[in-house]
Amino acid sequence: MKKMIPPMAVLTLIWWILSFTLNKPFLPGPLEVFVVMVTRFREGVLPPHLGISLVRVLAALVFSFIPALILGILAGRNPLADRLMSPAVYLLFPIPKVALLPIILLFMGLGDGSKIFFVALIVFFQFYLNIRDEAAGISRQYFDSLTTLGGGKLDELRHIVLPALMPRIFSSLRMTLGTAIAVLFLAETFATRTGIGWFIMDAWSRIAYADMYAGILSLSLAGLVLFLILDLFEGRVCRWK
Amino acid sequence: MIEFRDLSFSYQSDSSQTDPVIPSFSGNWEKGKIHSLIGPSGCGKSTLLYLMAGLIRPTNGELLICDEQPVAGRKKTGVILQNHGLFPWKTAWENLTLGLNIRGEKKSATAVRVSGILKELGLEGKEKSYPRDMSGGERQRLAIGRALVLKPDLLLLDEPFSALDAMTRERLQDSLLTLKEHRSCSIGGTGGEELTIVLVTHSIEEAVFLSDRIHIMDEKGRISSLENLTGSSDRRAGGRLSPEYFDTCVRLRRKFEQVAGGGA
Repeated sequence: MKKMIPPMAVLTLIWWILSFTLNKPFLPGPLEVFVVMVTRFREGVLPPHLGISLVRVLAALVFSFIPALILGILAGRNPLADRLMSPAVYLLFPIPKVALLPIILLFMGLGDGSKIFFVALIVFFQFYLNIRDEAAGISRQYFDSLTTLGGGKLDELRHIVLPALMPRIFSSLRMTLGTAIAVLFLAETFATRTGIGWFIMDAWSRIAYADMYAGILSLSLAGLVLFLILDLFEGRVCRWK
Repeated sequence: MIEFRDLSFSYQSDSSQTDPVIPSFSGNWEKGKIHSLIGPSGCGKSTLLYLMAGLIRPTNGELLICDEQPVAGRKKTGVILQNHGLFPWKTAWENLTLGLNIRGEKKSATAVRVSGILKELGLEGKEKSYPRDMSGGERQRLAIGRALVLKPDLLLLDEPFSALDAMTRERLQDSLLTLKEHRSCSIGGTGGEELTIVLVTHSIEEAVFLSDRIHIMDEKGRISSLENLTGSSDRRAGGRLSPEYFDTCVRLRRKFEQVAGGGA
């Protein structure tokens, strides 16, 4: 945590210099924004928006991660499964899925389900490809070694595949967490009055710039906390690294 | 102990390859001995070891271990593959006990045996260390321990000391001989049958120092020469400085050059 202080101080300083130099209402200083953010938290305005956004992000990560893990391992360890699945993934992955948002809203309605599905759809491919590639690259010597100890397929999954994948899983989670938050912001600008995305855009439309930045800052800090939690878990799960 | 009956092996996926990796070979390798398999790189030494471990099957002929075809995970076969085959995400203790856990042996029943092996191999206090935190020699000893803890009657070693510095290599060679000698009596309380060891190596000196029987493989995979060393116990007693050891090395080098058509 102490390592975070110098870069945060540098960023705050750059922000303050920019704000001071430009002297425009659309770029308030960091102190003003911080005060507004704390006030909005105390008033109970920000927490529900931030809370629902985090729930949507975490739900999307869970719903995309579980199938991506299963299918990624299957494709990574089984050439036939890879030949069946990967062409479909290569076909669908490049489609700009942002363009699908209106269609998803039409099919799934305006509720949380459509937003979670939208985010999950986008991050699924990143998860899948990362896990598949890592699973395919696990050295054969581990499997031979386990086989000589009497291990079967389930033992391979438990003692080799899952532990070997862990560092890549955490790395993927970090990457997709950033993507998920960015995509959710977009989804929350459509047909909703909840979520931090809506809060930021609403403040922007009201020319309440300090509120807008308070929303952005709170989202950034929430992301930071999630990254730190991931680092903590990785440190415990991947002690061997 | 290990019987080869017209055994041959070729990688069938390689259709362009007309010559088998191992051509027809018959022989019987004695129980309770240390057998070294020596030959140039790529001649098929590791392939033969994989066949004995049951990881691959002969293309033709038969291979019998104690009158049975080897299957991967045979309870009485301990295997140490190149690069140890240790799992970096498991501690020394977890690596050591993995085979026992897979075979469903109760932790309480095996703890004494595992502790005994750790002590025997000089790895006491390293139980919670991960392989990356251990030296090359410690990792190698751990790999040997993981195989021995299963109470094998056959230990297959694929170039176990090749990546180690000279001093560590010699120390581990001594340890292996000591373990082999103790095995008939008791290792870490394991007791049990006479241990047969098959060692794949590039080193003539290693083969001479460790082995009771040396099998030379030529570039075409033919195991065409069998050097039966006599007086091996005297050589071990004299260590690496005894005239007998040097004489045997020289004789084997000549034989090797004759058979393999070059250096190791």
